Amino acid sequence: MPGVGRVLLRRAIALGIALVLIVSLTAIIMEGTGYSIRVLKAIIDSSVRAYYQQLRQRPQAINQTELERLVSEYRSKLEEIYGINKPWYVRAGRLIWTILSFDFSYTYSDEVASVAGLQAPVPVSTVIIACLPRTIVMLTIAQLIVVMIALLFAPVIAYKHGSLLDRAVVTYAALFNAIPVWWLGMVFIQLFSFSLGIFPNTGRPIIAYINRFWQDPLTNLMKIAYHAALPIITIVIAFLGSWFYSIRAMVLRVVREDFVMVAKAKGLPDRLISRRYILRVVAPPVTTSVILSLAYSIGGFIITESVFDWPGMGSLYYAAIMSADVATVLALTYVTTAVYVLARFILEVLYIYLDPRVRLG
Amino acid sequence: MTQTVRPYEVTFKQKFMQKLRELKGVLREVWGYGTGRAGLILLAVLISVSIYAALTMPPNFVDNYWDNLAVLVENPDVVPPEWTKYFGLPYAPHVAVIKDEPDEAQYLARLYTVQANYTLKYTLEHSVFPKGILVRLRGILIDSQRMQGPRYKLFLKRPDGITLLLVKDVIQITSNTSLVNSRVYTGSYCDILLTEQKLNYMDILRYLIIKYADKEGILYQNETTGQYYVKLISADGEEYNVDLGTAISLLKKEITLNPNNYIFGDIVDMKPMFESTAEGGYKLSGIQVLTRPLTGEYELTLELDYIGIMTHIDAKNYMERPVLETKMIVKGTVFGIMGTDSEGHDLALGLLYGFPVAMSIGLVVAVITSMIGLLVGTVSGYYGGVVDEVVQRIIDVMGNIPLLPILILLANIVVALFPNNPVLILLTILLILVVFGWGGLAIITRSMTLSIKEEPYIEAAKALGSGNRRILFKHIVPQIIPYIVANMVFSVPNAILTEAGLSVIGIRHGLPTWGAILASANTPQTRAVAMRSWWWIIPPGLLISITSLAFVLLGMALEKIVEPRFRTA
Repeated sequence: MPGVGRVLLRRAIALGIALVLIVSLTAIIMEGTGYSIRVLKAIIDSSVRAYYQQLRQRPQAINQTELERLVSEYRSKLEEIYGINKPWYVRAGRLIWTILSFDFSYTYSDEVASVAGLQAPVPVSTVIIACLPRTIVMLTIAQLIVVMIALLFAPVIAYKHGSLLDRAVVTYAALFNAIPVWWLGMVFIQLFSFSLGIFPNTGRPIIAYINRFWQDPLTNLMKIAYHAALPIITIVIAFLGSWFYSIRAMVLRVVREDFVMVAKAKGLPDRLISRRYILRVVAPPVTTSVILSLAYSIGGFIITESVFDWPGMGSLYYAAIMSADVATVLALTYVTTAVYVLARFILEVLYIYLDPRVRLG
Repeated sequence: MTQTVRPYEVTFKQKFMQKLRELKGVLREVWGYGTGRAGLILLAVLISVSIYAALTMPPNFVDNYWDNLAVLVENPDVVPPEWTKYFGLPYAPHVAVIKDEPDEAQYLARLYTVQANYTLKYTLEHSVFPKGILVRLRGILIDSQRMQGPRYKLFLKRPDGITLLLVKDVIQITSNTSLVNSRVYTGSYCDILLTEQKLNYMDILRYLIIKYADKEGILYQNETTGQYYVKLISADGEEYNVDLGTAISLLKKEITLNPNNYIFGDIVDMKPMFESTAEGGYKLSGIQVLTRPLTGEYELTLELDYIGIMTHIDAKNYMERPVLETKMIVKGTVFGIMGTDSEGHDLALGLLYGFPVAMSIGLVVAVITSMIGLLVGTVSGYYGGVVDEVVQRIIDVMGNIPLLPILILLANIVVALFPNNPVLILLTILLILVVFGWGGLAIITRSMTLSIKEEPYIEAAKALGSGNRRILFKHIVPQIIPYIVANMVFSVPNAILTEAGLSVIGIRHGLPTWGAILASANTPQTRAVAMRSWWWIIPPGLLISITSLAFVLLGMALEKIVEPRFRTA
């Protein structure tokens, strides 16, 4: 199959270019609009002020002109270090180059570090590695649960389209398509955490449980499950509807196809029809949804995590954006996009097995 | 004279009528589905409320009303809607009265003083403390000869018969004045509040403590000095004598922090608290006080005194209308139709004016996005080649972007770039939503174009000499439009939910939106309070959901019409 190899290579190159473009675009947005420079200027101003105070307090007196010379020298030195004396495209270019060569540098933002539960100057990679498992234990697991329930029941429901159960599911889907998951989260927190006191109202404690997980795995696992339970329940309830609906729609499209009618007319058993005639056709789009949603969940849900006070990737992203921490924003964009792009590529490979049209051209 | 109808008018009219008939047909078909009917009804309600809100929204609503501190201070904070009282929960009513003229005015000739009284009656039925007192004087008559304002005293007559002097002061005159009926009034307003500096805490506490001690029989008088003291029993059962002055000074902080719990109540328990001293002994460190609301009829009276008025003729001038508008407010524990948040926002207003904003965001973004998607998709599918390749790559890149973070980043930058320009910020956010929103639709229209383009009638049209543009817009686009409409309706909630989401995590464009109300409930400072206040969380989210639901239902009905395979019933 030489054709397949070429197709994959072309896709790999296209996805790679997309990744580079997205990272570059983010860097250009941040540098070109002067978004990054505001924060750097504030940092430089405060260190220059500190330096000035330090000079003033020296035992031997320095005269005013000498003092000003030293201060302005120090300022230009700092500007050189932070690179804000360069035009924005030079800074953006340097930024893109370092990030693409996997040099994630440091974050100096206290907000970003505190999301990870660490102290300020800390490598960005450390911060990301600290937050990633927290998002996985909540979001990715929730997505997995949703996907499993949907895959188990949606085809059955679609097959019995028009039944009472089917209508109930469609109503449920319509309802929860309209309800934002983060609001459902707020309502559940109000009800189950604050009013009834069944679940905790913050996800912060899991930082400790995950950090010292191996000291007492069983207890820590229970504690993590206890804290993740409400967010997971919320996400499952909120997302299940649209999953049911979309898988049902995919199956419905096929169920009405002529070849399925023929199979039915031939008197083939339902089980065989669904396995051999429907599943084959539905597999590629369903696989796409499943893999992409799992990949997407790794990047964190900013709003939902903020509502649940969950210190995961989404909260990290948010803290980085809000404190204009360019290094972290770019690193997160790079990582989440890379995971997503990788998932797309894995899908391309899977299509070869799932869809004969790709294989045989 | 006979009117001749020009032919093109006829055709236009006919065409218009035909389109109208088609629309009617589609609507009837949509109406035929249960989901469609529900969606249409909801949509009609939403649109009417939006139009009503848009027409009645006062100009500069946010600055003049929503975020105007002068308005916010009139409202109690974090209280449920007024109608919750019908569920039998105890409450203190909210009473606000505006008066043009004093209820009573007299000239005390011996004191050369004009005295004007404004009175508000207030009934407290349940054992709940009201949330506060505010008297707002807008336009105060100035004694123009001496260039000074009146003195004021604010009294509260309690159900137990006693009248407490709450605050007294002189009204400061501001420089800007206005002339009404050839009298000089201050231009701005003056708020009388129970502030820490002004509260007459000594007399209030003295009265309350004596009342409590007298009832409990623990009030004594020092025979040599004549001073009163009370015999308090500490938590360990030890007796301790506290003289009245000490008790008052120990309770000062407590009462100035929360005056309502004292002026509207009675002390029911006092316990001394001790701390150990360096010498090993104990000393009194504070008094723990428990107060309980006093139910019954209250009377809040504002007394204005103009001093130095020499003649009856002069006095008449002051007695008639010393203040243009006097607003007397006793803040209750229920307020308005939808309650308030922690800053005192009247949530009903925010919810109402959120309607047009949400609807226009959803519709504008959905329509523009769909049009771009339609155009790009058909052009790219029809022409193919380099155009197609470029479009495909662009969509590819957009499809891989972590959308929400980039949206937040851009919105953040926009907010910083155009501060204090809500409309421009909102428009830019809409633009961002459009720019990142058309990709998915373009993919669908492209693939549909690809298959339509191969149909024989397109070939026929080509053979007849139709140009590309004619084929595109006469033969291809009309076929795709039904799908686009269904898709567009489905994408309205997307825009609404995304905008609400952006508001929730703090991207403020400054217009009142449902998302912004939820955002104020999710800050670290308000979270603990807000999560116990259902009226703050449930209504805005419910409105977001209902608006989205209308479009989801409509979209489902349209989907069934354009995609017959979905018809299940």
